[in-house]
Amino acid sequence: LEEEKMFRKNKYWNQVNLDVKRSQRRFPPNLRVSRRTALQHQVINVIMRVLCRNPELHYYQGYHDVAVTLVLVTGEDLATALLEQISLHQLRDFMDHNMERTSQMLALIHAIIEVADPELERFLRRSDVGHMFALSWLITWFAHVVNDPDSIFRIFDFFLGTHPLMPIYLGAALVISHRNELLSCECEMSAVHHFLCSLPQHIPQSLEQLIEEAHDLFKKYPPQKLESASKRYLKESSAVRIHDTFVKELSNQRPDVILRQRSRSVLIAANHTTERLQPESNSGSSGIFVKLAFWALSASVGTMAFFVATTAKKWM
Amino acid sequence: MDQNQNCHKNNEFLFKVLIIGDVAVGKSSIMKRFAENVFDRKYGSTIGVDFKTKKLKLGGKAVKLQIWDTAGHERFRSITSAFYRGAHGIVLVYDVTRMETFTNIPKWLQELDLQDYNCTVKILFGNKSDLSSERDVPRETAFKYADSNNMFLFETSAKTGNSVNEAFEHLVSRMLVAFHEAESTATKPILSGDLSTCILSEQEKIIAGSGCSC
Repeated sequence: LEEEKMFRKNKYWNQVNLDVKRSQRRFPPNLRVSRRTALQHQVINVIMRVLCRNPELHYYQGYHDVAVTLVLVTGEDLATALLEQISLHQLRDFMDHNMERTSQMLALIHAIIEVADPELERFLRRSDVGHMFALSWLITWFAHVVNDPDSIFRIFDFFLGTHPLMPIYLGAALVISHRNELLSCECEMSAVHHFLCSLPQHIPQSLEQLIEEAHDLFKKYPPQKLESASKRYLKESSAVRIHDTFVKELSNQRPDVILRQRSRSVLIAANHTTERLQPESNSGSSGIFVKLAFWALSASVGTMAFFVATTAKKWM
Repeated sequence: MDQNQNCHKNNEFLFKVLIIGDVAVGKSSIMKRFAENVFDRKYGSTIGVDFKTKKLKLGGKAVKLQIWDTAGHERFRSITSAFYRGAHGIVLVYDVTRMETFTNIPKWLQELDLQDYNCTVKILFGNKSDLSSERDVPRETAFKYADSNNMFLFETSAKTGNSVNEAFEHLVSRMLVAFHEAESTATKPILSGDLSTCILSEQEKIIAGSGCSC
């Protein structure tokens, strides 16, 4: 109650409520209304907690799509921790008080297509389509535009374990994978914008391939090698700077050290989660459940760290 | 600048219409109701911009509308406002159950002024009129405001479909008149893109009633 009083004083309270209440389609369709309402309430709590704790972070429409995804997968407590981490890290540039850096990051999609498929980029430029079509892809990590929850979860796993600019590379891979249809489109802004906006609906059928292609694009054309337009962005981006520091720190640590560090803080959360993970069960000692939950949680947190650590070496 | 050349191809008029207004007033629902005649309760927030096209015949003229739906969230405005360019008609929407969405209309008008579209045909929608028990914006207040700002007001319901078509047809008829007016003066050099399309003829003023101009 004390907490909700604080939430209500926050300038984003109304906006967050409006957006989360309109997010029904993000929840499984067979969910009971009461259960869905409870989950939506959790999403609001998660978002408001992060915003109140970090007044320098500004809410944007679409942030709630990220929060919904995390709550659906991990529950309220872990979702809060995860959302705070990625808000200060991967999503940081979108959470400025304006969209300046988001816009600059979006522009990179053209820089990537330019080097990977110059003919396609010439076509896009001639159509004057800009980069607005990719806005919701980027700032919601595709959660707003892909209809299949499992695909969204897979995309989140991919983004959690890679570079903050990976959403842009996945967007570029998506556009390039439909190049022939695009080139046969009328080269006119609204037609091209419309076509590009419809692409995410095809993601579930070819997700693994797209992920591979995005990863290949990243390896072949890393952000530092893109045209000068991206240089300015890279210099100004907090997301990229924080990521670079993060990767550097990781390379000096062994993953099991991180696991041990995280485990101490996770232990407390694990005690709470056992109840939620095993609501019906009353058999077996709670000790096993603590261990199980502890293992699951450290593994999920650890996988990300581990993946970053291993791939980081390839980038450096 | 040369939108009049663009908007009349093969005897079909092409008009760009923009829907703007506060968050969750029903902009996307209005677009979906008018373009596809459906209402989807689950429609979420709009991130960025989206558009749909709708063809209709009015007074024997074939018209194709390109309706652009924009995000209501203020922080997106700096990047969505680029899409305001070249609009022939603007639909300003508020929610009759939330007063603040109505009191924000002048802010939206100001936004348009900043973009120099003060001469495009504008129309006001008071949406969610089906929620009569939750009404927060009195009809009289709204109509008085619309009158004093030379705008037409329709109280609409995207949910039931009430008045949505009529409102759009009214907008189209005014855009057609504005177009013909612009065409007849097109021999003169056009100073700024939208200026010419906004001058309504005397005849239109009589048809439109209540001395409404843009």
